[in-house]
Amino acid sequence: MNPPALETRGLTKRFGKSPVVDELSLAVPVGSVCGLLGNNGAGKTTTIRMLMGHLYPSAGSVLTLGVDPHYQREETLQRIAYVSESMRLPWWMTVAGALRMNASLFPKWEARRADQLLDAFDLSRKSRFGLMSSGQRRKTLLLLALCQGAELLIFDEPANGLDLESRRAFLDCVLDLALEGNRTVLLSSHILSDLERVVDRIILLRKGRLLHSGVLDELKSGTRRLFVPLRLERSVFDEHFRVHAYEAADAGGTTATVLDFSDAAWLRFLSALPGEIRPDTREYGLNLEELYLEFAGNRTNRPRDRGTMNEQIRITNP
Amino acid sequence: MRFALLKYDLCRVLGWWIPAALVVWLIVLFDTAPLPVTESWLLVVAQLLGLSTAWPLFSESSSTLCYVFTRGMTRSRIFWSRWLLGMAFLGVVTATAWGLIALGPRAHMHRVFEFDDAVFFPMVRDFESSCVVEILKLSAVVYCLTAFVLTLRKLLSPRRTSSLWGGLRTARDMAILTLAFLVIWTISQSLESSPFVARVAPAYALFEKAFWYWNPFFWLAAALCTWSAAHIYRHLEFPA
Repeated sequence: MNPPALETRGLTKRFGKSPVVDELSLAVPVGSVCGLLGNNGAGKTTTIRMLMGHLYPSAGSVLTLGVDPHYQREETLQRIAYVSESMRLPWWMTVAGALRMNASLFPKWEARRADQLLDAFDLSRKSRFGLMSSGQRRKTLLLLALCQGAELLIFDEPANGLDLESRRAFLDCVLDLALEGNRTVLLSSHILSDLERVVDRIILLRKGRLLHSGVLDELKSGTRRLFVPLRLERSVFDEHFRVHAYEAADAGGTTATVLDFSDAAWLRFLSALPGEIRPDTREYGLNLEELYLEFAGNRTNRPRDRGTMNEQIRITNP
Repeated sequence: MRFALLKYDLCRVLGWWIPAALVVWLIVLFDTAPLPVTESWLLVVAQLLGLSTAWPLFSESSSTLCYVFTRGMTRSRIFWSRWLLGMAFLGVVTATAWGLIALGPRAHMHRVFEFDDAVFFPMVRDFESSCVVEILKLSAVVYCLTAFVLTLRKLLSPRRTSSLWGGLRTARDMAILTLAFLVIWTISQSLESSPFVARVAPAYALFEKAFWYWNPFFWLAAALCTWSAAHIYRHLEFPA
């Protein structure tokens, strides 16, 4: 069995007394595209910097491509591409100069992909880094990482400042890399709709601790939001599901988020309900944003949009 | 791969190095007084040369350093490549200055402009050439010292090295260390012929007599500073 591309065991990082990353144990298998999610201050960037050897852990261990990142040889360093939030090129460097530099540094440099991405990102070779907008700078750094020929690509907030077309081009490139096989990608981003397009695994962090790590499709299929148009005790749900969240509305109706959902359990649950309410009982799948809010978000921050606001107005002002 | 880093570093530093080298060469060519007039002149030129060599090499911002450290090279290679580049620059500048004195361009310039107090007997030319070696020695020590201070500042306060206060703090640390070096130099000079030292540390006395031209304390301090700077480079962190 191949060792994972990224592995941590009991990884902890403290700044002062409080841990920013707390006993984090995870593994990202080779060939996967993994999304790293969490609130601000959840420890995503700190975890990534420890994976890259840019921070020393306070406790625990970390292996990147099977090697401690602080003792990596150049053969291993050549196989890793990394773009951080704060990374910069020197102000005087042009895009062409950066391409030449990286082409000579990395033997597996992909010149054809570089030409394609230059067009897709609408970058000029003559542009100087110091005179670019923040979005153009980010595009340049992403281009350099994507064309490096790396086996492991780590991106921390790659879409910051990117326009929609460039984000799409970046995500398409990530998908192409994933399809080539044996390339592992770790993405940390707050734009969950982008992540949902490309990732097959997610890691959820909250206050430095691991909430969930696993295949996204399994998480989606196993998690459902149930609505019953009747005030129902939590114990009824507990008999059939593993309940993650439960909310009984004052006006009637009960919502519960359940894990380990299955069709058999759903049928058993329905059969336990009074017959007249079964037709109005619903189960909903959750998208990545809703899953994230369920597991890592503040439960008082319910997603609102124009549609739900109009519905509320209609109910309160008939 | 090495040439890519070399080109990158040269592009970063030439804007500083070329003016610094020109200043030294112009002083050597056009200074009417015999070089050096006083030893303090030597110290100033050497310190400025060492400073202006190390500063652009080792004062890179954390965000661009993060980029360089992820270009597939070990940090040790990056540090030693830069350190050797700086030493090579010092060697080139002082070798060129020596050539300007020893091979005649300085004398020629003074004949052309007919400076009244230009004296160029061979012993004067040899004396002036010898000052270049002193400049190289002292600037190399200052270079190692500055590299250490800059990497230490990056270790202790990574977000502040590029600010005005960060620069002032670095200058303060440099001044303290320079003072410490001067004290060490003065003490070591006075210990040269000390009978106490000859009794307690005969190897030092022998070493000093055999290599009287190369103050061992300075070179030991420079070596320690360089080793420390390399160690810091290998273990630098990039907090968010």
